[in-house]
Amino acid sequence: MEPLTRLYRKEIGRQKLIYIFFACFFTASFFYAFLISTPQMEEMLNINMGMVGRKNFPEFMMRFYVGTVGILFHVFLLTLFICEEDRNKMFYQPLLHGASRSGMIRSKVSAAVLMSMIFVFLTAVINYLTAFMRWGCEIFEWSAVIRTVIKYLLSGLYMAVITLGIIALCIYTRSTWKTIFFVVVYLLVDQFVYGVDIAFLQKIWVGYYLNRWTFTYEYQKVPPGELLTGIFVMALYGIAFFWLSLIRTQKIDF
Amino acid sequence: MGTIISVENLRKTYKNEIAVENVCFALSSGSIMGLLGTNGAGKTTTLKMITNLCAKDKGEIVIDKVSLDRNPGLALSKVGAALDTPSFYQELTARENIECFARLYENMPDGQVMELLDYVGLTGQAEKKVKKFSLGMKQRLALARAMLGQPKLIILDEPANGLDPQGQINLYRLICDMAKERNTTFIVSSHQLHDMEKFCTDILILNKGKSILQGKTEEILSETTNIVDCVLEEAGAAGDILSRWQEIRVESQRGSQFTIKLENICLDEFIKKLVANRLHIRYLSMRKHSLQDLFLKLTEGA
Repeated sequence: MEPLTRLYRKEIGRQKLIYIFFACFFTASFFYAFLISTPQMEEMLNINMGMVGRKNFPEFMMRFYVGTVGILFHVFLLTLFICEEDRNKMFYQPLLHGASRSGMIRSKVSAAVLMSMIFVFLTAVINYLTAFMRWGCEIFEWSAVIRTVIKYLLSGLYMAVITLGIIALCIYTRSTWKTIFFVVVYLLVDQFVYGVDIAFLQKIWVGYYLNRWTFTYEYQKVPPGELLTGIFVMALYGIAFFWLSLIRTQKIDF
Repeated sequence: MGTIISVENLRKTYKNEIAVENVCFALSSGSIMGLLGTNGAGKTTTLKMITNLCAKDKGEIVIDKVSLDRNPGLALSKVGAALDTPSFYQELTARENIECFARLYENMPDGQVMELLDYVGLTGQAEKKVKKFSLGMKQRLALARAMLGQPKLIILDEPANGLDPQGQINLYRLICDMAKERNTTFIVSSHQLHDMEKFCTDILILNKGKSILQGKTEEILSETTNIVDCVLEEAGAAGDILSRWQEIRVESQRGSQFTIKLENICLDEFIKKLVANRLHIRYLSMRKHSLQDLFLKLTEGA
């Protein structure tokens, strides 16, 4: 592993925001698992415990993470990692110590993408843990576990692409608030694209595929054909975001 | 002594506005160049172009015989820099901060980090978190970080900013010691003209992006005209006589007090001429232009 990547991984690991977020997420998952299973809450929230609880609970909570909360968490973390560093004049420091611009951005990207994958893994661990605490071994139904693990892997891919997109935004705008603004706009447009029936737009929209996998095929297996198209589009977005970050970084006047 | 850095015809524009134009200089090893100029004169842009943090539009930068354009990696491996306000990982200690960047160098000898902290006088504060550091301590820590990898050229952008007078002197002494002991070349941008005059071997003054004066500090100051303050009897007649002399210029007259600039005459000859013209001298003293006088004259006039 390159020393600069190691430096960035440690830098991310030092962010207190991560520990606060996952403590909150664990608490939310725990309370959700125990609260929604009461008959009063089932009635009040108009949810079917048979659907969202037990073996389906990890998938139900995954949507909660990748839908909005996780993306907002990523944007705060990545703006601290890039825009705030840029503002504090720490961003370019490795360039004064032998690192190249492309090497620097590759290290940033690899540290951030790994972080996003680990966070998806952590949410899976937290959700399975709280589900186990509430329902015990009932949650381990083999087909449901396989299906949920695949969906977590797809979410990991989606979050990696979102991470690359946020990095590209950070590098282009060099502003925390502009980046947050554009990500909020993305989340709104994402809901719109999923809701309207414009086939062409949906086919090229990166978030549409995750919405299909998590909402259209809620607690069901995703057909392999749809999986491949979605993975292909996401990969294209990921490559484009990385390439844009790389090109822009070469031209920045610090 | 070999040339460590040579800069030729450096140019940078921001949205059709010229930030730096035709800046040229060369420095030999062990020299300290003071880069002076008013705010917005192009000092930081020049330093950032040398460190490749900012792309130049035109010009050639060669560091220790390596062209920055052709081999930026090798050229920059010979440069250490502390630019802008010193910034660090606030939650880490001074030692941890330096170690973070030391790991980016291959074959960094063990103990080098503590040696550098010792050199800048921060051994006692090595385990203290940087967020508790004063600005002066951060400036010294930034110097230690710039020294990583034993660069032949160190670039410091306003390193004395925010330091008290004693801190400024200590910092400049440290720079002088390094230049002498390690033969390191320095480019230091600053507004502390008095200190620059004392510590720098070379001076480059920028104004509106253009180089308006450069050379060896001693030569620059010796070439400047001398100023004489004198008190003469019979002020009216004396004023008439002095105004007719071509070699001098009367800068000001307040009663019998004259401030005279000697342009084409040395002090001895001037005194002899006063005596020959029967002008009685009550008081006379000579002062040289300081770097500050020169700077003000050049930047106001330009």
